[in-house]
Amino acid sequence: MVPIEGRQLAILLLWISLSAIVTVAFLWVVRSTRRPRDFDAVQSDGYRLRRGWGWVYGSLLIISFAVTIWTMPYAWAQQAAAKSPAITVEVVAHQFSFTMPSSLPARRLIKFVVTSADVNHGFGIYSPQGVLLAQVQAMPDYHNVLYFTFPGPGTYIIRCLEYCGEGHSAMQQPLKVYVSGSQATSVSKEA
Amino acid sequence: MAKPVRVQEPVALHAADIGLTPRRLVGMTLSVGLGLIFVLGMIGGIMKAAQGNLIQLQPGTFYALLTLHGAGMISTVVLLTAVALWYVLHDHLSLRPDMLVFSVVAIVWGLVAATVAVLVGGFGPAWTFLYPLPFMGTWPSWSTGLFFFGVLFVGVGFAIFCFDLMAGIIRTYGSIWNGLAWDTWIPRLRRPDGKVAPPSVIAASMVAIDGLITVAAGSVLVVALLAHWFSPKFPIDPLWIKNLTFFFGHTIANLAIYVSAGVIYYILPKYTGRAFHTNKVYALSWAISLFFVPWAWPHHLYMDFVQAPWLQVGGEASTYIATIPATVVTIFGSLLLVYRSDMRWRPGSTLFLAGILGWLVGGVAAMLDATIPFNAVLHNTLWVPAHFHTYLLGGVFLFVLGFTSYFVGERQTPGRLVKAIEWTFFTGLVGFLLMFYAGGIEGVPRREAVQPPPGPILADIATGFVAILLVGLVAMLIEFWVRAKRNAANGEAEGL
Ligand code: HEM
Ligand SMILES: [Cu+2]
Ligand SMILES: [Cu+2]
Repeated sequence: MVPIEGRQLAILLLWISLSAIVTVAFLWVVRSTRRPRDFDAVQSDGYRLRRGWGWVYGSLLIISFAVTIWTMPYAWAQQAAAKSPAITVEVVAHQFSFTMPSSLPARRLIKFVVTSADVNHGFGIYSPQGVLLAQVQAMPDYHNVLYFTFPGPGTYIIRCLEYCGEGHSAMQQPLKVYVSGSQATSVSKEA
Repeated sequence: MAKPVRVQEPVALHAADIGLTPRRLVGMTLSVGLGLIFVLGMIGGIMKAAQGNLIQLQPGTFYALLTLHGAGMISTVVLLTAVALWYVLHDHLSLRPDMLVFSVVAIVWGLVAATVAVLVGGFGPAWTFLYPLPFMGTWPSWSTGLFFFGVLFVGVGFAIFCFDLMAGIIRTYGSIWNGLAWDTWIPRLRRPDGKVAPPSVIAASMVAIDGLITVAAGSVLVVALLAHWFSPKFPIDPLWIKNLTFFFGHTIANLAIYVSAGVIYYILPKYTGRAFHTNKVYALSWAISLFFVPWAWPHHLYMDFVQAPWLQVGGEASTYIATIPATVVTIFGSLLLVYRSDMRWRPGSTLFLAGILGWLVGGVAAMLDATIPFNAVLHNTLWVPAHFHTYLLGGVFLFVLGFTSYFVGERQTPGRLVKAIEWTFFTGLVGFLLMFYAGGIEGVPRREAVQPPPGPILADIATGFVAILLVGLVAMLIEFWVRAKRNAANGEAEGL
């Protein structure tokens, strides 16, 4: 099993708890039909509850929207947060492999410039434990910029994350990530 | 009792002339559609078995089946919900059976063309057929063209349905705006007799408008692809066509839920003995859906970082806003209708209620996926089929089954047998869906003939659940069939 951590953990907990809440509310409504009552008697309470629920739900949406604006994976959001200058790495996806360096430094901001030589592909970065960390699409005629910092050394996996034809599921390759400083010169050459 | 066929304006091909009462027409379409869903569900099970290494499939075969399953299921579900909405509204709105015949025939022909392209030609760029893959695969060129013609036919069939709805609404309520119940807000629009459109007509009006917009976009898409097919010099921009593809694909799949809402508004009152009433809140809520549902597509392109930032941020906002009417008005309103009602628990009402729960849970998963920082680790993982199977298979399809149960008549349902069938079906359904979610959280990509771990183990377990689900489904369909025959023999038709 791949460890569940980071965003995936947050998503799982949110999904389970929200689904549990709606399921319980739902079952409660289903059970209530054992004690029937006149619609007029429940309707006005229902409308009041609906107004309250509308406000709660609307506020949740606004908060979630505001929070996510600052954590978007786009260059305009990430560049601002970046302190160190980035190493630029070009990635070209083909049916069915990526042309890119086979090793990169850890803990250095990397600017991936990703494109495709044929169809749409995806550029997904998986940790040595198999956790999906980041992704961007690889599209012909366009260059997508993804800023990413490898958290530590190890053998990461680059995997295609857009269906691209018969070889799609075989389109993955290892990427060696080393502690920066030790091989810095070779990277700047490759990049 | 069969519904009497009303006398209508003379038309070239009158369905009544060929012995097709609306009831027979709808019954036949339901039979064909439900049969198709079963076959396509089997194909789904075959895909899972292949991903779990229980059977061997060539990658080309796997992707062809994936394409057929996706395109076939979406078209069939749109067809089935459309027919259900047509049936519950045809009396109110004097809809034309001949139009429904044209619509069904066009969709079925489209499906036949797509099936030939896939099964004979091996066409397999997945149901979203993202440019330029359809032109760069291992399949022959004729299959590419044939598939696009198939999609065009399905689109035309749905457009005919939307036109007929719109014409019926305008005939009865004076204008499409009154169909949307905007007259509750704008006194100037009000009809002299004070008649306002009931909620199912409001839903139908929204579907007709957004459906026509969607089909128009889809036609531009397919015509551009066909032009490129005839002459590869015809230029296509990959980003533009991707936006158009998802505008069409997302909106048409999403509309199936809004079509179902119209059916819920009509059917749920039959079981609860309470009614939905049009008011300003319903009108406003459906106006929000009308405007924001077509703006939600950019959430499919969050990982295309070259896309304009306003579309990304706007796509998240629109997706969020589009959920407000569903949660605050339709789902809340349905639960309020059930709350402490004298609910008649029949197979149909159970299916409708379960479908509403599937809609909610799938909706929660969809919202998480539509939140950009989360999308970065969910996009194109199994989380995507997880959430849409929850509200298409565990939602819309249950509404279709619930409608069918109502349609064949709920009298003398064999209680114990039905309970057993329901337990089987829902156990299979929930287990199957949970394996999808687990795969998504574990980062297993969607659309893979061969998955990284733990994909194969999850697929093995899921295959078992699919088998249970399909056994439950067959049993349920047989029970419907037997009930339909018996009720018809007793001269009784739909209802409780
Ligand atoms: C009857 C049970 C069903 C089973 C066992 C099933 C199974 C599957 C499987 C295994 C996949 C491939 C997932 C992947 O690895 O990417 C899939 C994809 C899909 N399914 Fe289903 N499914 C079922 C019902 C439905 C229904 C009712 C609908 C729609 C109304 C539907 C629509 C789709 C779509 C649109 C795709 C995506 C196709 C693509 O990626 O191009 N399925 N399904
Ligand atoms: Cu690829
Ligand atoms: Cu790929």
